[in-house]
Amino acid sequence: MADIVMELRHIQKFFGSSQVIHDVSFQVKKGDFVTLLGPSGCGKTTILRMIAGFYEPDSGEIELAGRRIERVAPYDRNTAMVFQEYALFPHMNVFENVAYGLRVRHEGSDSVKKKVGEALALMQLNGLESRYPNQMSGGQQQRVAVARALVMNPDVLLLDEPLSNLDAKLRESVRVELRAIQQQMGLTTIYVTHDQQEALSMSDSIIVMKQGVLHQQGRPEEIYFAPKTPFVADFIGTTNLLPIEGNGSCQVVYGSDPLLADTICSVGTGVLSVRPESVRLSRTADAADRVNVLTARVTHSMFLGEKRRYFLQDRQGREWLADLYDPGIAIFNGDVYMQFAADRSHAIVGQEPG
Amino acid sequence: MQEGTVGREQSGWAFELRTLRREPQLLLAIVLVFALFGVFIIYPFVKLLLVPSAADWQHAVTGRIFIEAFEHTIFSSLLATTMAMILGFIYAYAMNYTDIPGKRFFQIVALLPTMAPSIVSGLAFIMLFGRRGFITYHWLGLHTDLYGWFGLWVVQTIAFFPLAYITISGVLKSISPNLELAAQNLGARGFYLFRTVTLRLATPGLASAFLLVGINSLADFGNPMLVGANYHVLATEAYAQVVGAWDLPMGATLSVFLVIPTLLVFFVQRYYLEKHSYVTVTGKPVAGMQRVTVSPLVRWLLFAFCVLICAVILLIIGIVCLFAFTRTFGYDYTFTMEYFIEGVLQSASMKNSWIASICTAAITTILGIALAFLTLRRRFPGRTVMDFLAMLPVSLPGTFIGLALIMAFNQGPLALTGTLAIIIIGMTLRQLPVGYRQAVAGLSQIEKSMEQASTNLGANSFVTFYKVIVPMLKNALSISLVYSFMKSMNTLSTVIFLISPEWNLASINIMSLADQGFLAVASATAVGMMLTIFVTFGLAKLFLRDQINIFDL
Repeated sequence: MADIVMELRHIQKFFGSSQVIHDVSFQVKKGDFVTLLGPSGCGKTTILRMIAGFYEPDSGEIELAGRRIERVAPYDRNTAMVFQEYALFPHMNVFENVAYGLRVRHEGSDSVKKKVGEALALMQLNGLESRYPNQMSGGQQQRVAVARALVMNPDVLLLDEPLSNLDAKLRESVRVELRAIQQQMGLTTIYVTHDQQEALSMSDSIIVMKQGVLHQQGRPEEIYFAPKTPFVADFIGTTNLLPIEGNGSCQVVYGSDPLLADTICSVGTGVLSVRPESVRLSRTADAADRVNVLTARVTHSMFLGEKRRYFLQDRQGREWLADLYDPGIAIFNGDVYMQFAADRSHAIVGQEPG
Repeated sequence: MQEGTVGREQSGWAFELRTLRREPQLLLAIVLVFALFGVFIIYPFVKLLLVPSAADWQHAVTGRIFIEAFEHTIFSSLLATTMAMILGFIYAYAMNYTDIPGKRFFQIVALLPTMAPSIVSGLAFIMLFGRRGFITYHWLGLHTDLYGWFGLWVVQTIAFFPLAYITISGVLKSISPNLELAAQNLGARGFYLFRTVTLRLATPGLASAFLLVGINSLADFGNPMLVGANYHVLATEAYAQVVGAWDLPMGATLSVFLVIPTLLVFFVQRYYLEKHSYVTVTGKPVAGMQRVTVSPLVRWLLFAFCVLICAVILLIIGIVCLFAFTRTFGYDYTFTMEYFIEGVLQSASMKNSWIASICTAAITTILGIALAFLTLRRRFPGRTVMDFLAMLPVSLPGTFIGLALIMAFNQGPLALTGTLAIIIIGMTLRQLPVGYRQAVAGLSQIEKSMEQASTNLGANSFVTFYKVIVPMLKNALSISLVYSFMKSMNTLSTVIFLISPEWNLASINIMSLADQGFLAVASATAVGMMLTIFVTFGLAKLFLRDQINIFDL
């Protein structure tokens, strides 16, 4: 496969005697925006740092642009990184910060000037060349940090939660902008975040990790609609997880209720994931002739603006969440029927609830 | 997945060496540092330990005068250290916990004595309270003799007060005011607050400060020489053995005995106190916070105390100046430049001191930062050994360093005795821990990601060091430059064995002139010394502008 630009093979990493990365392997296609997603402590930053060379894997291989790099010094890798805290040099102004890497490479001053100018223009930083980091807002500093990495034209651009220090509004607009620039430049990018919205909205491919184990790699839609483990289902978005058993007749059994799931004819025990927004509620029994109907009792509900979130308890005592969009002012109370479509309930077979 | 395979992080010598091989320059630098340490620290000290014979050791522990010198050393330094600590604490408390008027003035005056050799207090003592002292003899007509332990106590207390004050002030500053505010918020006030919070938090730091001042007074050479008279301490006895009795092995033996308590203190501080400290060295002061925790009465008592201390310090400096510029102070008050010309302008010693000190300051500062970078930010075999060796000289008395150096470099391929080089080496050894510690403190405050960003953009260790680390450490760098320059100008014990007729130094001149009774020339030289330091700082300030903070220690 010619368009694979980076590959990690069987990476293991220990801190002392505790293992923080368990046999992680994945491939990155040229020009892709790949997100490492997981809760804190899942090992996503450790992976990023191993790609940059700040840690060495204790076993396994990293290949970048046709070269094995896991033992190469960090300064010989061309893996420019945007740090979470930006790490701008406080004693250099914007221009010098962005020019730093080029000057280390001993590029001619004309070329440096040209490339820095382009990078600054791209990040809309024109006119700020002589500012120092402490004279700029957080958003501007973040742009400088990105420009400093972009200007190196790296084989892979590494981003370590670069948006986590920005306020919510700014975060959203930078998200769009960053993705546009990345696509325009065709820059292979590894992005680390714990924010699922960021991951879903920006990525070509998402890698979900937990406690050093790679749970799933896939397109955002795959990750969202077809999670391979209960953890992925629960971590991305919100979901209802039910323990199920296959009954050999293309149904799954939840307690004593037969249900239909998207993966047809599953056998064995597993977990069924049903998103809250896929659950419909009704008061009347006429829903009973449709598939996947369960009775439940509303414990309470919460108004969230565009939707109302219901907290329910089914006959087996299990808690459910159901989101009703465009809710109006009517509220369900007491006993209700819950219903969801078969193609909206995803069976994860062979897994215990997370 | 390879569950069940037992793994570990790669570590150990082999791994670290493999990482190093990627950067030959770094490896070379590390080897060079170890070579320097081997030649200039380990070799001289081993050599010194090998000089005394068994008989010398035996003689040293049985000879009456030596046992006496040992007792005197312990007794006098305990007295002086305790007193200096008490005064220093009260002073530092007044500076950090009250809003008494004139604080800026008090702070500067308390630091003034550090700009002169510590024997200036001895010199002033002789001039004021000596056998022909201005106050005791001239004014009061007394024929007292305050030389001996009492005089030494007074003089050393004054000499070590600034060190105690600076160190304790640092400890008090690093206590977060938030903790005291929290205690006040819970109803604690006055002495109760002081006892239950401030003092408790400060205790480990104070113990550290006590040991630091203790080491310095144990090793003090000039003051016992000048006002101790027959009250011999180890430092002066070692000198007497070498210079007076030509018994080099005995001098070496005694200096080893002097090292034992200081090394002990060093280990206690390094491996016990530092781990039991509540306050971090890097604790940032809370901006704009003014702690006021004392009642008006206490406030004015503290004010009076500070005035008194300042008066004594100014009296000392004043009397030195008066002696330096009058024909015969006490009898003939005519202004004269004669002594100043003789002691400063016509003597090469001031120039020598300046050259040696500037070189020392530059070397220790650069070496200190390089060492801090290596030990803190790079992994290589022997890192802890390097750290230990860089800090070790802080515990070694100057006389010990001096003796070790002349014994090691008297002959052979590195015959350095009598040269400027050996003086600079001695001073550098003495000051290195200060430069190193400054750099370590500064470097610990810099985010590691700064260097990672630089490496990530293609810079190796060397480029990262001089393009990112050094510029960011400007403050630590300037403090260490200023401090080691000042201390080197003023040092006496380190260089007493290292000077030669060709390379005599101003601090030694002050002592020998005072010892021989040429008080006026000695005073003039001391004044010249302070002026030289001031002018150097002035020039540095002129060139470096705001990058240097001389009084903000």
